[in-house]
Amino acid sequence: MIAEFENRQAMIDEDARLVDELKRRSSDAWAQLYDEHFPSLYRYVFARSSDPRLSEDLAADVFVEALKGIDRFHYRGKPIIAWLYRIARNRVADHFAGRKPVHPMSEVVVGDPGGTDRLIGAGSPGVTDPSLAVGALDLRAAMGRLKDEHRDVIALHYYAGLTIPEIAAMWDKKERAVYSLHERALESLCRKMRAGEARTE
Amino acid sequence: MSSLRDRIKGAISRVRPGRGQVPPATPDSEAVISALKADAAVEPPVAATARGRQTLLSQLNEVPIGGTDSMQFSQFLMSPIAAALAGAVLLVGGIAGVSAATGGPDVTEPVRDAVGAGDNGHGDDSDGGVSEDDRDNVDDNSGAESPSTPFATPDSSDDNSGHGNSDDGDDDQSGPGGGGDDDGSPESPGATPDDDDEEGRSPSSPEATPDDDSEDPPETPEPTQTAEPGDDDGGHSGSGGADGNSGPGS
Repeated sequence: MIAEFENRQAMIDEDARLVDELKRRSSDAWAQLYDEHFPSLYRYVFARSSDPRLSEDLAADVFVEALKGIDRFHYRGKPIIAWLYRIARNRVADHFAGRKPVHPMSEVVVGDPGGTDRLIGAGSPGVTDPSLAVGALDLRAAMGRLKDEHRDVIALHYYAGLTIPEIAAMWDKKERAVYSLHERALESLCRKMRAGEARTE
Repeated sequence: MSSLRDRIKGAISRVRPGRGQVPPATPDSEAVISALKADAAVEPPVAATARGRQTLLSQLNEVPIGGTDSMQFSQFLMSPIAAALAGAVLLVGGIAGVSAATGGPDVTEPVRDAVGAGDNGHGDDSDGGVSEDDRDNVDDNSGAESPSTPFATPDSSDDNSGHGNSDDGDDDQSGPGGGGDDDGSPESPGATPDDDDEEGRSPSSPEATPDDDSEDPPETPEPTQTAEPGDDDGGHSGSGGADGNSGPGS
């Protein structure tokens, strides 16, 4: 218990020091922040947008926005990544404001000889097996139909790699609440994937 | 039996998951979880990572330390102090509005006096705004105790002599009247204690009590208030703003 408290205190001190450095425009601090969090932010944005190119741009934008707003940021013991994810979430929302995310499946042309390549290239940068790519597209189509908070908890947990307690701390919620939210999100995702399969059959 | 045990075990593990662990998935969701993990194995292209890093570092010198004034102002707007101030202003304004609308005293006067912003020219302030309302109120509640009498305080009666907050409550007719009547609002007919209670009382003035009448006479300035609505201008304008201030109450 004491060790846990000390660990947490050390993390808070470390974050506070980092925020000070960031406010002083230390290039080392900004580079450290970027290197540590760009990949997970990219995956988070990818989970929410389903567009790899867009995810690159938006994830990079998050840091530029953070730089512009760092002077208004007051560190209160909450991990700085919580702030970054909030910016990321808003950036994605702003980008898609007034229009729906284009689902990569819409780019697949049935009967097109190059369809498979385009399908993989458009939707699944990490997946090379065509059957897996189709599965990933089904998954993302189902994710696109999830409620926002369900999609968010899945994106943060599976794509950004945060644990449930970390998400709870980020959202100022009880762990129990986030556990049950996660569970409901998974159930909903299962249902929507089954519904999608049934529709294609 | 074993399936029941499994179910109970599953339920318990769902209720008390280990710290940092996700409750065990059902077979149905396991497939989804593995699909999620496979899909989440994406990595940003190296070139894109380097480009973003370069962009960020190049902007470091372009964003001034401390931000702009407008940012600080917006920060102030978001502060709890600003929220409390806005809330207080809205509250006082709301109370004053309700009070004026119901023919009660101008409750901002004591507040202004308390903060040292008040003056003796109450009548002037209330001239325009309250008179319209008073016109109705007095018609309706002539001679009746105004619903806003609870606002009346000994202090306010002293200060706002023209506003009729002085002791009885019946002043309210001449009071807000005092403010409003300065304009010549036709509340004057109602201000006479006797007749108006009967005539002018509308169903909307159930507050009126006979007591008011008995207390009214010594305080109401009959000669001017019995004037016709049309004459009110003259009748009250004579006392005008002064009416409100030094009229009946003083």
